[in-house]
Amino acid sequence: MVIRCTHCCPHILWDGDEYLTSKPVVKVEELQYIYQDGTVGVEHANLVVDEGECAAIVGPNGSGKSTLLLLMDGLLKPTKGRIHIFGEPLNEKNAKRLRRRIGLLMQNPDDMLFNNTVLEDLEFGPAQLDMPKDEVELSIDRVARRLGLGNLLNKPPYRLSEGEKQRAALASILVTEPDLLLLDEPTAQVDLDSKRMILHILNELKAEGKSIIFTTHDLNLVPYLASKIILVDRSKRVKAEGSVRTILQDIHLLQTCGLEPPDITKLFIDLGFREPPLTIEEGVEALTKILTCSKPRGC
Amino acid sequence: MQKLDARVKLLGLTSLIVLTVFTKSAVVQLSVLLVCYMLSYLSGISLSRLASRSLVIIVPTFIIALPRAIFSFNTFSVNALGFQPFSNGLSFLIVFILRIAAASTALVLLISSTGFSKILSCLRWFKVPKLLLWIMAVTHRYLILLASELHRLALARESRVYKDLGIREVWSEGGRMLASFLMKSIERGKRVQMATVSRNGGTFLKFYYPNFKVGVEEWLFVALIAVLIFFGMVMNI
Repeated sequence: MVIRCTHCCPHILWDGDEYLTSKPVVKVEELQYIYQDGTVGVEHANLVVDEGECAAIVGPNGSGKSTLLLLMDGLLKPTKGRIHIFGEPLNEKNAKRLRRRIGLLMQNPDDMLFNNTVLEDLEFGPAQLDMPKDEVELSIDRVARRLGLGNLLNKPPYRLSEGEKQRAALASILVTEPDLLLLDEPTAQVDLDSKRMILHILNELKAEGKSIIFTTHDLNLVPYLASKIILVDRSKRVKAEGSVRTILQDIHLLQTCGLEPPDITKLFIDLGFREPPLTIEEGVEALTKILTCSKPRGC
Repeated sequence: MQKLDARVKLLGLTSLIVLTVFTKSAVVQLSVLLVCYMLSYLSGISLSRLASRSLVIIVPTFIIALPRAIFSFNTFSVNALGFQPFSNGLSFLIVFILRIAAASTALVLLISSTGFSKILSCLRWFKVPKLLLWIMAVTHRYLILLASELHRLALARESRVYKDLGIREVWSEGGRMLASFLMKSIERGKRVQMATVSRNGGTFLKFYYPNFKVGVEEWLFVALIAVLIFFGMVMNI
């Protein structure tokens, strides 16, 4: 079990015996991407995500979050700037090789599920990597059970509900066991059960030491998953990068980017708390303290 | 049919299609048609679905072949019993439609009982050129995607049309819909291509071979096909 200090030294890991210095899995420097029609996709982006870290790219619609992920997967060629993946500068020559260790979940699961059955979609990635079939069958079985897809494997993807589609799309990238997961709005348009299941699995993957970068504009979700936030605004620039607590408690910063803090955080800010909770659980804890304390504001 | 080895099924049904192409006997065409419906019934594949899917091919064929029947109506011939019951054109039309019906039904039966990736795997097993397989795979994938895109577009438009449109409006709406369909299709195609590449899909996509097995059912199927082909050859002679 690897332990990371999330406060003062996030680059230092403790594996029980010795300290390990974490390596960045993704390093983006002065990245710019301009679409063919002249629309700016990403502007002067700089960010670092370390090995085993779970980073949330948050920003309003149209702030370039999805474009950033496509650039990190080498699917778009940057207009300017550099991207390092697993310590290697990403370019056309090594993109294919590096992509073997990356799993990209696109925003619309329909784009990911283009085969006749869910099973064929799960087999697609491993087949391209020439993975042995018996090994893949075991992997599919494991992932399908984990994501509750056991009875959906022989169904055509277009017959699935949105939640099922999203789980199937996630499964299709997990079967190859990538080291880095790039997830574009993984819980958007899914029901509560699917959302819980996806969150649970992503937390398990995080505990297994996988590096995860996901985009979202739902800040209620972020504290349950991410250890770091990369905030982008409508000018397509990275406005801030920091710990979840620091960014989510800065209501002014969030509002300048067109975002609102999590509901529970906003409630406690409105009540005058200087260090508001980020999750319901923290909120309950804070309220319990208030109810058992004679000086509520001092708690 | 679904449980049969995909290679045996592909070869068997392709042989039936070839038989319908090379025989002019209406009895043989009818026999193939009958066998296809029997196999469909035994496999639990809906007969109405089989019929409706093959009608998609039969109806346009009928329309295309109809002028031949009309314009060659004056070619009555006399045989020992007097006039032939049909004109040459009409008999051509019937045999032609039967041929198309038998071949398309065999094809629909193959598609209904076998996944497309299995068909591709079998073709690869039969050493069909990679380029052809790639074209087939890409065409199949994008056809489905485009159909779903068109369906969504049509529903979205339908939900916002509150009055009956005149012919001119229908055409103009149709043109606009076609334009946005093409634009959306290109966008969708790009995204799907990206998803394919992100999952390490290169120019030549790879698939796993299905688990092949040849047992009693396969031999029974082969025997049935052999009898039909023998019957067809006898009838042709």
